[in-house]
Amino acid sequence: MHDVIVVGAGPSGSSSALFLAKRGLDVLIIEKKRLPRYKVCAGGTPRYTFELLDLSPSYFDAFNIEKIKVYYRERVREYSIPSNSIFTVHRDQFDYRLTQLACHNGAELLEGEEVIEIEEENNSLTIKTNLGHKFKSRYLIGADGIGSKIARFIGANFRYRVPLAIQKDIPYKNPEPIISLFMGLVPMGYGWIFPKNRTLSVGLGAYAFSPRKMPQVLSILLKDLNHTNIPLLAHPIAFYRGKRRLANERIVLVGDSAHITDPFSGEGIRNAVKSAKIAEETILECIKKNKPLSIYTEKIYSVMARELFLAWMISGIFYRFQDRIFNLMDRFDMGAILSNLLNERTSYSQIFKKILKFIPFRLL
Amino acid sequence: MYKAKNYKDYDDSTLIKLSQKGDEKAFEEILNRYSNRIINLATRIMGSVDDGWDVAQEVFVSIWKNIKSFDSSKNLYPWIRKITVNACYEELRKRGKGLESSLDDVEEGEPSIDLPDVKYSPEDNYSKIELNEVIEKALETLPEHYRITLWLRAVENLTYEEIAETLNINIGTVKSRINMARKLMRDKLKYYLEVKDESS
Repeated sequence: MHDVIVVGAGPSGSSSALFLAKRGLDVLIIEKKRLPRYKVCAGGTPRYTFELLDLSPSYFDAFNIEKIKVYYRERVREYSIPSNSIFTVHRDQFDYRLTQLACHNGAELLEGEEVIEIEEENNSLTIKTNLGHKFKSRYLIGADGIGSKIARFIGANFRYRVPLAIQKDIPYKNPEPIISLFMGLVPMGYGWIFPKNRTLSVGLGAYAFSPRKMPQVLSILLKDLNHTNIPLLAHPIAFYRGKRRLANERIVLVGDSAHITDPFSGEGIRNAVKSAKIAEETILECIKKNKPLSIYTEKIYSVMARELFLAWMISGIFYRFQDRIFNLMDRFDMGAILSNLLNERTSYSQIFKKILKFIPFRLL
Repeated sequence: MYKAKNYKDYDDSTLIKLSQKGDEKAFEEILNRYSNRIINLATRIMGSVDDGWDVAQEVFVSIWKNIKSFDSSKNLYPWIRKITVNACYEELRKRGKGLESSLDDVEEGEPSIDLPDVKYSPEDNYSKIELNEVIEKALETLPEHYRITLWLRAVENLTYEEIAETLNINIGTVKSRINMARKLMRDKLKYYLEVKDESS
């Protein structure tokens, strides 16, 4: 019997496995695809995330971002990013290396198999895969992303609309270390060009905007790039919309399966790794005191709920009034603000109060 | 004058006065205090979590925009509730959903049942959400007029007068809507009510 089975080898699953394997627990990761596998993701990752993992950005060949440009139609504002504070990663490599590291620390990996059934017994869980294999464990971590089967199994009930992101990853020799964000393209969302090693990720994320119209809008950003043979891929973003049950006695949800993506930045890896850290702490505590894992839900939300709520509030102001917000941006050092937010040196609560102070709401 | 250490210790009227002077921390505390109820109410009126959250965003901006003109001696929540209801109506109107009014003048005097307790907050009591799923689903399928009126009565505990004032309709209409809503709920929950009746 395993101590913990982790379903899914994305950032939250692989980091959960890594943290728990390092603590000496018997961990099995079950991933339905074979690694490395591609994921639609802009890949923006703050230094803080690497610190949580106790790994250097170079371990993942992360690409160091130096500047950010914000466009509103023909106008542009440029900001410096504090050095070594924001990076981009290729998700296939990021997830793969993290999983490998978990395995080097003793975790076991089962690839190309999908969990199709979970049975809860008194003191254990039995997991069945599509290839007919059965595994027993004390605990289960649901890291199977948005639309998670494990979330449904514990009755987490994420019944709401989520934004959609579409993206093309275009091979590009030496991209400049500049993230470009495009406002004014869609009502509730933005476009982006994220440079990565040898790649430009060109994408668009939008909420309440027709998915069918999105490729047409994205073509504005693609027009100077050679992208004809590159597939256009889409992915839903697991935004937070209020608290749900994220755990039962033996099961916890991490990352996208817990719907904890930052609704302002759309960045999901940081909270994925944070939730993995909280899952690790909860599981160790519950083993020690022989308690049910149910306390995990409160633990997650006591750390994240207020910030996610305020991030959502800010995104409402920001994306609803894009033209006016862009006009006000010359007053702020957006590079430092974004870097501080993503690295958790500034809280959304502080930003929210700043917005109330500086933005003349009567004009909105 | 206000020297408490924590904004949580202030009463509403103090927070309002401070917000009116531009104190953002006071406003954040007002948000902390009422965000659950606003989101909950908006979710109920709009009929879905996403629409509820979206409208609530506008409600918060609207409260901040208008708080200067609010009389701090009055209760805050009824004012917030009115803003919320109006924002929801405005959004529904924009979408052209059209709040049908022809069913308003239905007969009065139907015997009424009380809605089982469906008080919960999407921010706090996630477990209760599942418990009340049946009732919720039935409520979701009611026409907007009835859903909103019944919600204000059964969950927000407003009097008929308060509902009339909040929705800008007359008391007769409030009464007839509530009766009709209850009748519809009874029909939808028939199976469960019958099971309950047999056992009692």
